[in-house]
Amino acid sequence: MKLIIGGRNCGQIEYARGVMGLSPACCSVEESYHASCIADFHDTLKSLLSEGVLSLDEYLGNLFQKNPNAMILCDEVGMGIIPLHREDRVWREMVGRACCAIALQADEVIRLVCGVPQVIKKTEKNING
Amino acid sequence: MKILVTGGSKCGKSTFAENLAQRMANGSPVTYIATMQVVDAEDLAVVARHKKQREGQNYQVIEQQKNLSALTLEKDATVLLEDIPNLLANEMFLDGCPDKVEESLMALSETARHIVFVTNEVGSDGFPYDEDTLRYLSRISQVNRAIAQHCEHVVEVVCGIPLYIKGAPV
Repeated sequence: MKLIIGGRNCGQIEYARGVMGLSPACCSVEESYHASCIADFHDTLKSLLSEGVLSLDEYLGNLFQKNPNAMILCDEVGMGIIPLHREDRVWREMVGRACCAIALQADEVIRLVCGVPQVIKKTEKNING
Repeated sequence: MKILVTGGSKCGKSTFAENLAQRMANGSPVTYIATMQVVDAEDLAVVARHKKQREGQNYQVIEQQKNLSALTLEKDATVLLEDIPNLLANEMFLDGCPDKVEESLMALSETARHIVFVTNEVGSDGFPYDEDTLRYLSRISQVNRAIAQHCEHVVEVVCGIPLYIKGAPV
């Protein structure tokens, strides 16, 4: 699993497409279990919240199990004033927590600033298993 | 050692700062200064979550919403202050001394053996706020800059990953 994060429109999609040769796609909760590259993951989380069926932990458990090699592109949304509306606050916190959990699971985390990638985590895979 | 830990909402900065403070205290209790004013159920949930996170670890908790200069620390204390935006909001909006926040934080750090300040990145949503909020945003930035200058290490936590933006990793 890989995670690419950064502010809105900072180049996550272009990076996944151009550098990694992937086809990022926006995903519903269900689609996220099968997509090779999930674009706008913060929106998938918004769907998760509005569906109200699974908790974040349940969803992430499914995602890690069903789509362990996914490339996940997500906006960083937590760097402003606490939102006025409760649902916005819940979503913002959910995105933050989800990114922490995915980063822990991921073998690579890349943060983009002005389209420039910074590898902030990289775990070498053991090729001998 | 003086360290400033920053990051966005729910980026893992508290967990990082708590682990760091415990490591620096090396078995002694960490003096945890909690600045949040609890006003509703959501705040209570935050406090409960933080308490659970700190369970089984060695803390001496002081609830101090403003006026840090009233505190007397024990000798050689390792301090974790969480967090600067709450402290500033209390000083600004609860009849405190908002102009003395930097001074009080620095004075506190001089009486501690080690101190870890937790702050928050709040200026990156580009939203056109009202005058009071803009004044608050501007003051947070000023305080963050002053404390970053004062500290030997500044760490930004991103998705739970510490990025050392000033000083060597600790």
